[in-house]
Amino acid sequence: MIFSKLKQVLSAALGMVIAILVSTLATSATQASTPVVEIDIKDHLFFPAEFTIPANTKVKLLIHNLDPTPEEFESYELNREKVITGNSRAVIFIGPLQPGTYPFFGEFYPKTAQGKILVK
Amino acid sequence: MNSIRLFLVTTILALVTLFVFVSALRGYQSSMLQAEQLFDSQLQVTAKLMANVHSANPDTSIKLNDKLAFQVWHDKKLMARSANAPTDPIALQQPGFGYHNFAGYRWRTISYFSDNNWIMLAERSDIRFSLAENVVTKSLLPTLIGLPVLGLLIWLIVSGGMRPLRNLAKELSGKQADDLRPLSTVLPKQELAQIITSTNGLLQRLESSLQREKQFASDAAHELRTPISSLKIQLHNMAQELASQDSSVNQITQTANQLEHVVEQILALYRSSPDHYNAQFSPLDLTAVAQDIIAEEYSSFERKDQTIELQGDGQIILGERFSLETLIHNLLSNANKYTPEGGQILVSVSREGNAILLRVEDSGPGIAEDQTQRIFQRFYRVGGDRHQSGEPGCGLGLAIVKRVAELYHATVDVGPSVFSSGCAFTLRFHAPSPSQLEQL
Amino acid sequence: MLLNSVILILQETLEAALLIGVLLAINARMHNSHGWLWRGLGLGTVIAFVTAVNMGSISSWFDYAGQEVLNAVMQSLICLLIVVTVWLIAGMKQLPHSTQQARNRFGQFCTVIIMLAVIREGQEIMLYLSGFLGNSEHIQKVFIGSIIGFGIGASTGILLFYSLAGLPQKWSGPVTITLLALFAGTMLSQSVLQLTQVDWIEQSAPLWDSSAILAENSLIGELLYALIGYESKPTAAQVLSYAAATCLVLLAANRHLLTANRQPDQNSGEIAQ
Repeated sequence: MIFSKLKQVLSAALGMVIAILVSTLATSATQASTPVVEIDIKDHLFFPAEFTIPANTKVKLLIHNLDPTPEEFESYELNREKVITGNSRAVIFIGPLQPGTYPFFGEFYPKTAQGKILVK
Repeated sequence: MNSIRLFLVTTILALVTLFVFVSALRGYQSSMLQAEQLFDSQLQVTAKLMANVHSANPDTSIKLNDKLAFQVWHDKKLMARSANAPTDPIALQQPGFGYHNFAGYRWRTISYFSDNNWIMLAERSDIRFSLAENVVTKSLLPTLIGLPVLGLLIWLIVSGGMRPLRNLAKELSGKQADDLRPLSTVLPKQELAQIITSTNGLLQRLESSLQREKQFASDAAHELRTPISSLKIQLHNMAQELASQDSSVNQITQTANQLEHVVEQILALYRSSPDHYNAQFSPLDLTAVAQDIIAEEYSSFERKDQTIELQGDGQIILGERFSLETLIHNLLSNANKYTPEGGQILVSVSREGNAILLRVEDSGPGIAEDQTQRIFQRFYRVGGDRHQSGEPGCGLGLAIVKRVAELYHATVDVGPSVFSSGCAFTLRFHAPSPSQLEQL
Repeated sequence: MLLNSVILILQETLEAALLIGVLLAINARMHNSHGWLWRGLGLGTVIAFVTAVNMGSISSWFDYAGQEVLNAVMQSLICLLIVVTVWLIAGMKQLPHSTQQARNRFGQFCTVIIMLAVIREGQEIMLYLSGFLGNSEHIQKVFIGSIIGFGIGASTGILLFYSLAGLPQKWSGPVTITLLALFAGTMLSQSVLQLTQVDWIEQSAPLWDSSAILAENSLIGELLYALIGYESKPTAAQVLSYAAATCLVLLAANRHLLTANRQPDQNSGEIAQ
């Protein structure tokens, strides 16, 4: 029957989701030691627009959007994309990264909201 | 989704949109790049100018307009700055362009080394970008406004291009089932010529095969007349010889009469073709013809104790006597058959605007709504094999009425009669115009 | 602002337009009505609006992982629904002679897929545009940019639809299924990326870096991203999930191979009957 097939497919997918969740719990325990970098968005500018993080380390970015308008943190080099609504904050994890320069920008105001992360 | 017109319009429009928009974007990008370079070279010129004219006046804060700021550094010492510049360096101490955020804005900066001094000039990045973009955007607007117009034009052109096809479809769907005239082939488009030729060939073959069918029916009926006549004579002789009221002879005679009736009706049905008829039309008084037929048939009404009345004065139509007589005869015999003994029949001729109406109404059982279309079909009788009237008939009468009405381009309707029950057949003839009457 | 609007709207529109194009092409071969498209678009737009308005509080769920989790759930659901839809299609003996019941079910799946896609893309567009509503300086350029971006995205979708619909019978089936398989792969690998972003899944080093050959932010890169989920620096988890979802769809498309051994008589066309 189609529905038994469906059930197989569904349970396979469910298994995947559960696996993901389990790996979450495992990793969330390590979060305590993760370094945090705070970034402010004000007048469509990033403050700081440039900062350094250690190489091969996972880093938590805590972004405060102080503007009333939404902004989207985006970086092709970091492979990250996240909408941050006006007057709110957001969390993005990056790394571990190889040493180098990783530019990021605000996709909604890319002419002004630009910055880069130096990984050393 | 399956329309050719929708396909053509949407694909053409999608392609045009894609090309126009992508090329507009390319134009935008190159224009913006050029504007950027123009602004940069201006900034450079200004920086050089400042290097040449700057006075060693370290304390003053010069107020520039909002979109420019500058600093003059001698090594690590700020020599001069504009009021809106911070005291921290706004650029690196290396020649060239860069970006820097200060005073809540993003600035395009240039560092220029001259006389052991670093001239650092900054221009508001957002303002110069806006300026450039305003100019470039204006050049894009016509494209954007033009696109809906283009879309409308494409729609109109495609619709126009497909008109011959739509006309052909309309002509085909508007054709009556028995209209086998060829399609109008006035200068067909190349693409449609083949379709029209093929369709016309098909129509022609269909028409000739129908013609053969008619010919066959009429020939067969004609050939049957003589044997039936001799059969009737022989039956008559046989009855005389037997000299008795033998019921089986009577029954055979009755059957022979019915056979003769069927053959006559088939002949009447197929005898006529419209072209043949219209040529013979002459002015006729419809009321007078009706009166003649009523007189002819009076005995059958009398036999069933029915009252028949004729209303109306002389109304002239263009027609041919025999077919008109057949028509009225069939309507009257229909009324006679289906009206019970002692019933009433009303025949009326009247004028209504441009039409002349012939109505035959009876007080019979009437015809159910769902039967009204089928009664005009050949060999159809209400109730089919279980037909209840007990009247002999073959179901051709009303088919002939319809056939004759078609010859006259008249319409036939069935509706309720003026009596408490029964039905009314209404024939609507075209009243001849005075000029038509004059010509004849 | 203009170019930026074009890119942003194009990114969001293109993905939905291509998906709709592929589903419509299958739908056309089934001679099915396309009421599901309007239902999906309508429902999606309404829910996208509600989501966009509440994005602030949604983001703060799960210790600021709400947005990513929501996206990941929707992307996984789209992936799953594509698998189920392909399974359904594979069960029909011949698309043009499919039963009304199978067509209706196909329409229902498509409604949900389109709805989810529109919620995902729509809420970002709405959030973006909402930031410029009171801004008289930028609104015109943002508006023009949005029209251009939408125009390019929608046109590409239309052309894809007619190209697929115009393919010879022999090719249209495999091509549409392959596109759906790649799209399902994109969705699952994207959901993995979303969860990596909030550290629900451990970040690993990218398997390769093809940004020098084809940058993701180039026009071709954007098109390939929308069509087959091109990423210049994917992680192992992304590549794995992409491959898994693609294989799952391809397996579903060949369901007779799966069922032939055990149920030789009912191997296909159960729904179609």
